Amino acid sequence: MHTAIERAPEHHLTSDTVKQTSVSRRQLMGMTVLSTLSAGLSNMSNAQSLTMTSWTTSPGFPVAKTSYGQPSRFQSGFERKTLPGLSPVPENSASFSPLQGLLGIITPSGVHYERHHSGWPDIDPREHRLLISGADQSFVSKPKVFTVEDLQHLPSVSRIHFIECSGNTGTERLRATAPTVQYTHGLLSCSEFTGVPLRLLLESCGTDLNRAKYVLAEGADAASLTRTIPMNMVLNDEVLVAYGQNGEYLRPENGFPLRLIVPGVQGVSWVKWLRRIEVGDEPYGTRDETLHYIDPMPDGRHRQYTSLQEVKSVITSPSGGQRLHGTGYTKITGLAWSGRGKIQYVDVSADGGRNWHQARITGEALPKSLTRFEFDWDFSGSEAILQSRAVDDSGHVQPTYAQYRSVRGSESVYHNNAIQSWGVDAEGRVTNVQVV
Amino acid sequence: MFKWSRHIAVLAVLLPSAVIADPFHDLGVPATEQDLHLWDTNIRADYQGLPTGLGTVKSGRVLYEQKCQSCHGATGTEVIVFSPLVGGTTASDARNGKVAAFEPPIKGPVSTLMRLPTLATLIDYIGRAMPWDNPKSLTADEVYALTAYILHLDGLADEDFSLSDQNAALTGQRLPNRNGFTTEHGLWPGEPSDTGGIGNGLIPDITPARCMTHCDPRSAQ
Repeated sequence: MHTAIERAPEHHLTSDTVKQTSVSRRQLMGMTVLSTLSAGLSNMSNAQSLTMTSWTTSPGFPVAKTSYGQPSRFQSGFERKTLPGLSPVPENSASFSPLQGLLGIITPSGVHYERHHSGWPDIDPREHRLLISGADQSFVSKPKVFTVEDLQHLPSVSRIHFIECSGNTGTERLRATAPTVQYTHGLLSCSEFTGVPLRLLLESCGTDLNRAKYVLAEGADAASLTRTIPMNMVLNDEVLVAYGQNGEYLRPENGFPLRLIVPGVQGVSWVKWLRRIEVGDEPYGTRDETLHYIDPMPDGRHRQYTSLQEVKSVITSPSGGQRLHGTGYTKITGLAWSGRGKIQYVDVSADGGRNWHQARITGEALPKSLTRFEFDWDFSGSEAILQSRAVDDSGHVQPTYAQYRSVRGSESVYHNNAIQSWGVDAEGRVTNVQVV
Repeated sequence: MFKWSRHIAVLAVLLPSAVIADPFHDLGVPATEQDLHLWDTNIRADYQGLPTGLGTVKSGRVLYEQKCQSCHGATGTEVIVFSPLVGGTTASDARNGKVAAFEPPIKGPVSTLMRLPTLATLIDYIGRAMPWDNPKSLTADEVYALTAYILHLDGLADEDFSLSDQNAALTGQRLPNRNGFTTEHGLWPGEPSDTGGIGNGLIPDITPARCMTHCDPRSAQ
């Protein structure tokens, strides 16, 4: 016997259904949990005896029917979505990636999450320029202007890295709120990026790499967003100026024609539509390093320049809004990642974190990349609380909410990497819960 | 007739270029003073990069009513489109340089002036990104005037105040949350503070054990 999974109704989520996902306090497995309730819709397929289908008995479509191929029309609901009411200004908002439908570790560029601060520009690459200069003339002896084509002449590197908004899972800081994994963890994506090490460009401009401690990265969008980047990540060639993503040019929503790649660091530092790099010896304290992307702590102070995304994981199936039909073998699968390096272990618990079992990592665990895990679970038809917990190769273990809140409190919407719980009731309904 | 000399001449031209010692040094064009003047406008937290200029609270009020009020409200405390600009701070906060309202639990909307640690940041951001529908359109004098008026709305500057590149850093010492930040944490992946950088060198603050059996999911660290 095995279970069948009824998918979550993400594509039916409206303002009204979000309001209907009221929070309830109840018992699961003898533990008090706070949960959201979410309605499910059936789209089960039924097994039937074999037939000769029409596509097997007549020719299909001609080549190049679509000049840029599209997903199957039967792949529904696999879309990035914004959360109704998230922001009053749609140009200053976010959309979430459909984690529940992702396979492997690469996010197709069309469903990459978005976070824009003043809308996304559609830039003609022939008119785009990258200016590199110093905080004063002593840092960069030959300030230069590069075209996109200039950068493509340089030796390229291609690397797979995750990118996560530091506000990912911020909705869950006080209690379980979002109905599905798309909204709890969907400010997360992973791509192969192709570009040029920033160090090469700095050297070409005569940069004093010994004195430089920081670079400022600035975008060409209306917000001209600026962020301070640590120089040592530039010196070890981790920081790239990318023009490629998943085998093609960056998508405009992801920074076309140029984007900074800062592996392991929160998405806001991966400045899109990159138009300027400044080299200096002091941090910049920009708007998005003082008014936003700062972490209020229990002592009433804010942590500033919190940039790293720490070890984290989430079960993407079964996950909130889905429903298990039947009992028996159930494949649990999910994603793990760490800004400190590679994923070493992922453990899974089906009893709310009392007992843990090591999951298998599918494929190779790459540094600062999404890593897929799976676990074979026997759903007996009794209530369960599913959790995953990642450990990275620095030995850092993903915390429970109790451990997380005991140090950082509940005020910060940023950098929440606590263990996610999915409650499964006796009827197989999966909801977002927190063990309290 | 086959002419060796011509082919040798061609080879002589081609051979040296087959391996280029430094193929990158001449990529890009030198930035001109005008390029830097137009694009290198950022103002650092230590006030490096302030443009020359001056603006008064009075001229700031006129500009604010024209260009800012529709989104930020007449008093700057309203939540019309964005979170409030001012409010939520006390005279005691301004003396201490730390906003008491950030003691948990944080209640109500958080204003810009509740968080702002350095005035340089506000001057930079208004010039870079405001007004929302026409960013980078304000002159340096207008940016100083609007900044002065926002300080006035928060009770940090009187009606006759004027702000300029000359007094901006000193005026920043009035900000209610100027001491409200810490960089001592393990989330800065750059050089740590003990060698002149930021943070503690990635040392985690939450360090759970990898418990496998009979764990207590409700126990704190």
